[in-house]
Amino acid sequence: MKLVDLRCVTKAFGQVVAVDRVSLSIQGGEFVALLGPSGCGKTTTLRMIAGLEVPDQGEIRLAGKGVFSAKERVVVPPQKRNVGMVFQSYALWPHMTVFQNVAFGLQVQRKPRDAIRREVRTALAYMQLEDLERRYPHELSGGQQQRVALARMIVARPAVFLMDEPLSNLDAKLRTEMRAEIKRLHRDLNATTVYVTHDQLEALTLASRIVVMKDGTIQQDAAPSTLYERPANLFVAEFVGSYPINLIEGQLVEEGGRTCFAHPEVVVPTKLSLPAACGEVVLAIRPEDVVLVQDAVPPPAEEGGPLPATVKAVFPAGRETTAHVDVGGRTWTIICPKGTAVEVGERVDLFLPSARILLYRRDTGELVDEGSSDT
Amino acid sequence: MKLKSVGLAAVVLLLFGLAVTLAGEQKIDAETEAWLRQFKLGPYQEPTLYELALAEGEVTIYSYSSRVHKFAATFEARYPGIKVNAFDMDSGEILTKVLAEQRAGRFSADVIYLKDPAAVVAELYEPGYVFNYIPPDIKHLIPPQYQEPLLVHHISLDVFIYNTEVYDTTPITNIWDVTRPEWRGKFLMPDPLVTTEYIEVLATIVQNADAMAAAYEEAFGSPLVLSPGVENAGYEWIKRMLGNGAVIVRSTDDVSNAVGAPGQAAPPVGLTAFSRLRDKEKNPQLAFDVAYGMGPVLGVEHQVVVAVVNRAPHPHAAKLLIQWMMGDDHGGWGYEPYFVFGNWPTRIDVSPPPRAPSLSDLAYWNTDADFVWDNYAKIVDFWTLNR
Amino acid sequence: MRNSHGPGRRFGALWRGASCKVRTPQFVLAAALLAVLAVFVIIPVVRIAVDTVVWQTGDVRLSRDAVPGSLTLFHWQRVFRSPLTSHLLTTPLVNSILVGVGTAALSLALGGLLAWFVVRTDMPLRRVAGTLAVVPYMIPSYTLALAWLTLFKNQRIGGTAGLFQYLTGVAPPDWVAYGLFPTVVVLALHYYPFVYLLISNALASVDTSLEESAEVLGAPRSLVLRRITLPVVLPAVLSGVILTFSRAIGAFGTPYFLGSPVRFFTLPTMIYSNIGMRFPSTANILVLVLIALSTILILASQKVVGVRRSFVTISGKGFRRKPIQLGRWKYLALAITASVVLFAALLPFIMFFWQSVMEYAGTYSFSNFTSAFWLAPAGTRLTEGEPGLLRNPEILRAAWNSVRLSAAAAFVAAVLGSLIGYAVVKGRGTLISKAIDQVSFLPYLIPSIAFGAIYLNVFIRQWGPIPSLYGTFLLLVLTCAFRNLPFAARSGVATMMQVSGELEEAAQTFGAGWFYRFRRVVFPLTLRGMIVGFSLVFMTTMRELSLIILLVTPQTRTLTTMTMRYQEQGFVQFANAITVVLVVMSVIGVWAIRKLGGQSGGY
Repeated sequence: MKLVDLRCVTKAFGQVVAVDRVSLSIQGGEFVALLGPSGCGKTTTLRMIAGLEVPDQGEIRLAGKGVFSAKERVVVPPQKRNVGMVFQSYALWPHMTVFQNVAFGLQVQRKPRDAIRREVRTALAYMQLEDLERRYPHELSGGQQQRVALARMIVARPAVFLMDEPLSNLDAKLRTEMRAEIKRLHRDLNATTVYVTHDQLEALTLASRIVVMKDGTIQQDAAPSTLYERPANLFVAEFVGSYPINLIEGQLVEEGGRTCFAHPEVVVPTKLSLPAACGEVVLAIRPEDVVLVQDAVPPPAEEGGPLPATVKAVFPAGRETTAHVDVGGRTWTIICPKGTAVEVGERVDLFLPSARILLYRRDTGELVDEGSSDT
Repeated sequence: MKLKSVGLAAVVLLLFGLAVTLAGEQKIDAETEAWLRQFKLGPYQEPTLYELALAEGEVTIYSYSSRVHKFAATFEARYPGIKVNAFDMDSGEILTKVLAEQRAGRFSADVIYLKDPAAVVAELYEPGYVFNYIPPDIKHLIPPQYQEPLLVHHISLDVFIYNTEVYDTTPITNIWDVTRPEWRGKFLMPDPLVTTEYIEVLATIVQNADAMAAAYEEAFGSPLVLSPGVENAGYEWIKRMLGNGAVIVRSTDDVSNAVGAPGQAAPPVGLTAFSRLRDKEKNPQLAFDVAYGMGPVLGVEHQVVVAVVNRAPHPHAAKLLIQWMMGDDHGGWGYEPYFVFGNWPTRIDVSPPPRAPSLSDLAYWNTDADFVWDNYAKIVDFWTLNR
Repeated sequence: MRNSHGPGRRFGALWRGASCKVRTPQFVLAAALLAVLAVFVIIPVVRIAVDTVVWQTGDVRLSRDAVPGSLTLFHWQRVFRSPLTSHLLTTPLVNSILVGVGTAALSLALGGLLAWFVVRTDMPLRRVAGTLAVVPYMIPSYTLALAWLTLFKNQRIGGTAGLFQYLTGVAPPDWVAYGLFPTVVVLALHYYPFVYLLISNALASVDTSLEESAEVLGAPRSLVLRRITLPVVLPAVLSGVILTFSRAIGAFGTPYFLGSPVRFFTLPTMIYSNIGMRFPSTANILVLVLIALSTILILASQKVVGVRRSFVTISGKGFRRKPIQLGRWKYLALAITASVVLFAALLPFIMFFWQSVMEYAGTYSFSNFTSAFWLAPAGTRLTEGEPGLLRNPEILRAAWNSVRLSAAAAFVAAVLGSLIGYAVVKGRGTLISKAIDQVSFLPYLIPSIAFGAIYLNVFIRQWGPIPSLYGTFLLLVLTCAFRNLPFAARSGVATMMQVSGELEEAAQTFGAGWFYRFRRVVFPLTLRGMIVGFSLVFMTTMRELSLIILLVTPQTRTLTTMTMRYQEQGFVQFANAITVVLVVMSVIGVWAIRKLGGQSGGY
């Protein structure tokens, strides 16, 4: 069942279009992350689902019920949408205790007093906040405040959880901890969740589905693995990934009956069976997919390459060592295989396995694919 | 309040009824009956003002002076059953309030009691917003010039004063002395633009320009040469007085306190209300007196008028109150709050308060309401331009 | 903050999504507020403007051509193009601007410094200082002017020399005793509590971690103050500047007492004298000039705040507050605070009290002591039969009236002010928000007596659905509430600007309807600001005189009218004693308000 359904939703602030004809369907139990840089429209989209912003165009349905329709002039206010939201700032009410904060939603629902007490206590216990119910928000640590915000949301049992960058105010260690907490929450409650973040790692680790946005439009809507493995366009390719994806420009040519990526320094055979008409493209490859070859090691048999490069910097980090290398004026990041030692200034050869390369049209930035250009 | 009035009226009517019934016991034929009725005798005798006022139950007065509360208290004691609603505010505020009420048809004031007769006559009397009332019993005791167009309650003087600790007699003997270099920056007067009765004073000085010119010649021995563009000797005095660094203060007590403060080496002189001399009773250290013997005059008169407001809701009580304020005809206490140093009753049968000089012994100029009214703006503008 | 909104605000859509927004409670509220303001503010101002082009009855004195009631441009020509222009307009205008700028600057320095000391540092006696710091505002400003004269007057205006000359033998020069300098100092000492209240309120809600993080980065304290603290309190600072500037350019008593001896006249002087002489048209034109002057300032400040956007400091993220250690400087801070409070509050207060226990005014000796003016039974000779203040039922009734009126007016103003703050901040960028913001400030610029006169003329008769309010207590309350609404509205706006919108939105997502979340969330969070607004209006109304003189009835006589009465009769002691009572009542009132508010708003 489509729990959240946006159709062609558009929202402009003055002359700036914040969200441009966005369509999005979310099934019950999904954990969808809206991912993008600041100003991409992800928060506005979330706020439109919550009802805190009124779209200019389009239609929004929650649990099959129309909550917004520009055509039919329907606007259901947030308080009648049965959504729960965690704000970036937590938005805990500073004049209420933890207990009062959490109880608020139940009080609005006019639940009986002891039911409220019971449910609040359960929620607080679930978030490990039992001993803090009489405290005021300013007496809590950042992580505790975050837990209160989550407890406050879950206790009201909304149909959809909306979270707006909930972890951005926490330090790295707490962030990891809270990420696990949110994951647990989703697993235990199986609540449909829409999660806004600019942190791709957060999105990749938490979400069952990621919607990447830029300039108010959806760039790609896919499962985390797809998103990482086959970014729909250059923007997504560059935005997703802990290390920047490596790029190099060239042409698609036909060589020996195969479609190959051609660059003055290297030719990489592809798995495409397209005519050469595609022309100018950009080759993209994740750092972990680049194969580094030092003089001593014999070249692999079938891979594209060798592509000569010069080591510019080396970053040993215990588990793995990364290096920045110069490839024809572009800086690439590569991950050195265990046991290899590279030095700054060293000349190395890179091989680009055909199965791992991604090709994008230079004019539109779209992925060059067998089927349609859309994923 | 309404109910109470109705109740009182009922009582009064009942009393009349009773009187008629009692009279009925007399043997009276129809002709006598007609005669009694014609001449309002026997059962037809008219109710007194008090009885009529009692039926109204209350009276509302807007007064320029806070002493209204004192005569209101004695009035309520003398005429039980009639409550006085006393408001005290500036004369200008009374004008504003009455004008607004009259225009809106909200008739709430009965009596107004205020200064600035020029404005009262032009803005309230002439449009028919207030009317004159002279208590008949004392009409003969008030000189005609104080009866028209509105009854003058009392008069006051604005006079020149000096410090008696330093000077045995007045150091200024001519009104032009304050323009002399030795009094540069040493003459104080209230700001006429704020204490507006001093516009009347200035207007009166302007009106007496000829006497002012003569006084100049007397003081300096040569005829006055008017500055370019200045109309007459009165304006010339204002110009030179201001040009001589006159200090403009806010109110009359600022003048008397500055002139009269003890321990000054070179105290200033000033123009202030005669009645400020009363302050010496409250603070005996103040040492100042009126510059008796000033020429051509020691000051200027101003009048305080009293009137009944158009369609006053309590007209009889209004009349009774005015009668009381004027001191009625058998020595009531109504006038008492104004029987003080610096106020002169307009009644000829009342002599000034103890130690106060008689008005007839003082040289002062009368104000002319018409002249003040006609020249008001001109004098204000002249003052503004020259200060 | 909601970063995706930035561009939208900057381009400032007039009616954001107008088609769909019309039915939101915020819009309904804004429209209702605008309607209320239209009746109680816009109509009076229009009335003022219209009066300037209509001959009034008293104008017959100005021109023989005057036909009361018909149209004329005479008054505008008289003010703007006549030989009188420089005396009537130009010079007073320049003087007023000087007074306004000077007062605003000095108030900002004093109020800002004191607020910082009290709220953010470890200065000793902070709590006491915090309470005393607002006392100067409770003392009528003209009395402070009189205190200044008592101290610094020279013999220019005659009388005894001031205390300074008596002690040092040196006569203060005219510029110290009279004119611009003392006017600015006295007004600043009187009005700095505005700035103090607003800034301390803002500082109290600054997340100190902002400052700490800057300090961690090695920024010197002065830089932290300038770059972190100041920007956060900027809305409050601007509100304070606008309030003090506008009040200073509209002040009458102080510039008059201190200025007139050297013929230093300001616009209010001209306005008051023209009202007194009943040339209302001239006065009203000058009022419009004052309004224009402040409007320019407000527009300019809106530009500043508008561009820098909001500094939301009460966010849903709790924070800790840690006082700044001043070290040995804390005694200097205490000395500065103490001398300001002493000079502006205690000294005048002690002088009034002293002068109320003198048998003969002006003699400072023990043999001259009397308690008659406080305690004498009726019939005492010294007091001309008047009973002592504390035995006088009329005084007690007047005191009760003062409290009743002040509390009622303050309540109305505080509630309206809070709603205005809410409507203005929620709808920031929209036309209606700007309109409410502007209009709610207008009454501030209209002199009291003119405001009273307009209300008299407008509400004396039935007016549409509004019955004639003339002579009712309600009219007094409304007059005082709307005249002083700007205090409450500024305070409301400043407070709302600090409350993050997300706090209300959070409540909204939990299904709370507008009234519910206003009651449970918005109201408690803005309570502190409401209390500030309430206190300001309460204190101001306590000593209001000329505003209500035209509207009072004997039953509604207030303490201030009694002061005037005694002053006129030469009973300086009674007048001073009433001033003492007024100040004490104000202090108790404000303390009580704080106490009550503190319990519910203490987070």
